[in-house]
Amino acid sequence: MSTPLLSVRDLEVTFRLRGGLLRPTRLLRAVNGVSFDIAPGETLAVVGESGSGKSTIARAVMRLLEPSSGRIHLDGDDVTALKGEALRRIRPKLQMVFQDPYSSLDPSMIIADVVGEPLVVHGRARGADLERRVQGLLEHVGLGRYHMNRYPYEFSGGQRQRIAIARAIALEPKLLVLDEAVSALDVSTQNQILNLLEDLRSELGIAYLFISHDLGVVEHIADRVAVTYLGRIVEEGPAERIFSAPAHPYTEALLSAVPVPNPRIQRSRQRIVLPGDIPSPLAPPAGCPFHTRCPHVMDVCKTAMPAHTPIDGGGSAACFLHDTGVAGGTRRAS
Amino acid sequence: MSEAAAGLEQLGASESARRRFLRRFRKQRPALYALGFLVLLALGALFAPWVAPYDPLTQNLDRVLESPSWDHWFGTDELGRDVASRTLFAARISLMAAFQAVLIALVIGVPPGLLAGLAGGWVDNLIMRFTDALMAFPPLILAVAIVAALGPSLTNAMIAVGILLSPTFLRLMRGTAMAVAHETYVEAARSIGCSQGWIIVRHILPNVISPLFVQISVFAGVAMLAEAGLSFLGLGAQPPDSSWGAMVGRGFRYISLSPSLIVFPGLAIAVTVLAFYVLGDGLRDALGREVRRED
Ligand SMILES: Nc1ncnc2c1ncn2[C@@H]1O[C@H](COP(=O)(O)OP(=O)(O)O)[C@@H](O)[C@H]1O
Ligand code: SF4
Ligand SMILES: [Mg+2]
Repeated sequence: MSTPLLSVRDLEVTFRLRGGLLRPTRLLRAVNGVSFDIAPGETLAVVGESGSGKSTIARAVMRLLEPSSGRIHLDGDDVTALKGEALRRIRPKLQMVFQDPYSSLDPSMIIADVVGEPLVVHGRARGADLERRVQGLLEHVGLGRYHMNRYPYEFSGGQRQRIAIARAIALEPKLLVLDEAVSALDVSTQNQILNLLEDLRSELGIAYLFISHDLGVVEHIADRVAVTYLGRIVEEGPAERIFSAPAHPYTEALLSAVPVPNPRIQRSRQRIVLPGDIPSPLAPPAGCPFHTRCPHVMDVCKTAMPAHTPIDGGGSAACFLHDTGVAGGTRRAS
Repeated sequence: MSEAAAGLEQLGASESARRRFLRRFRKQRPALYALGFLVLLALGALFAPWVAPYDPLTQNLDRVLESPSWDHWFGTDELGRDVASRTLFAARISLMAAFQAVLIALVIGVPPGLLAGLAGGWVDNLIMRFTDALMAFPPLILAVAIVAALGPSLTNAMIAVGILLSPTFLRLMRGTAMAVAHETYVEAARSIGCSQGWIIVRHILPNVISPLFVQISVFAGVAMLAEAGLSFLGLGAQPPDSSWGAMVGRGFRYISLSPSLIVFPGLAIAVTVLAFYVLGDGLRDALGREVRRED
């Protein structure tokens, strides 16, 4: 395999929650032992319930927060410890689109400035050239040039997300991190934005780290899928395999909730309703993080942590059902 | 900084921002009337020597303490001076005093407020301790102490008022800067590779300015009231200068003989202060965030 564009190894992010007079300072491990690679031009979808650490992974990859441990390599270079000017210099390679299109655009700036800003701060364009390139970017995302002098509040959510995408591709990044970039939009707008992203990928060859709490949204755009639970990746693999033969009970549950009719799954389809809520990341369960809600829970799950085991069809899952060294493991590893 | 200025100029952002504000402000009827009144008042004060029917200092001891009449619209005072002319000339002093106090409060309050909000940590702690200590003094005592130390004059009184108003500007700027610094668009700016200086000049400052305008307008009213109070007590405008507050203070001695002496300057204070408040309100609405539009 060639060198991945992005390589994340054993990423851990811990937040220190400041205590008060009566509360002690607590540590919240939002991301724990997360590793993944993204090849050039590839789309990795990261899917999991809200609070499972997806945004924290995105912000760590974007170097918007300091990981507590782990390594991040971009294009073969270690970018984990970059700071100041050195960090600013690599930023053009990776750009981000945020979830809420209403708060991610500066309300005091006109669209021409919003979209042109990356080009200006990196000294890539100025004057008439800048204006021409901003026009080109807006057209690229399906917005007319007459929008240039308008303010963000004059646009709908979908249009704003197009603006955010135009801004994010201005520097021709190699990786675009999309953190719930379509989650705030209605279904038809979602589809328009997903189509736009597909077009951009085939035209520009950008790799995506596509984050969503909805497995259904990523089915068509993802090459590979990583499923997160309580700050960990519990299953990872080619999208095709994840959707046709999910290995981890949590992935199965997520998939059973996807409303899109899929003939392969529809036959045996039954909505798996998980009991209880996602545990607090301040007090994660011992053993398998999913054992408090897992329909297949075994004794071993409550004390030991399952390791990632390769799955037929590609990828891996962290579940004792697939770990042949453990009783019951052969049951499902077909 | 110069980089940021170049960016602004290049894309002509400031002019459009003004246009948008004007469009929304035009819908604020009461604020428009208030602004109209304040502009007229300022013009009247500026051109008082040409507009006023009489010289405000010319005495006519044959016609003292007269009620309003065709000759003297607002009546005459205890020395036979025309109250209407004196009220117009006093507007110069009162407006200038309010302007001075607000300017001083801005200069003292805004930079440390921004610094505290953006730097955080011990810098923030130090600045806020100092502010708390300042605010722990009873305001009137502090004002009297400052005037006593500097000597009674209108400018000194307004320095005192400015110092008293500054903590509000400081807190406002600190809170707004903190809130804006945590906005997603600031994180987004960092993610594209904007430097810290660029982020402050291009993203934080433009977004903390709006609430400041609102506060300036309201505080112009507060400063005018404070000036009136201090001048009433004899701590502000000194003869022969006269502000509205000073006129009310002197007229108070003749209240049983000629109530109109305090009615007109008193009314001028009330209406002008109200105008500043209403203007502040309208600015708040015109500068506030527009409601979200759904798809
Ligand atoms: N800045 C922060 N300070 C403290 N806790 C945080 C912070 N950001 C996220 N968290 C916590 O980390 C966990 C993961 O959050 P997040 O990454 O936003 O999840 P997701 O994006 O999957 O919803 C949550 O429990 C959240 O409360
Ligand atoms: S390890 Fe056990 S508890 Fe965890 S997912 Fe697998 S079966 Fe369920
Ligand atoms: Mg999130």
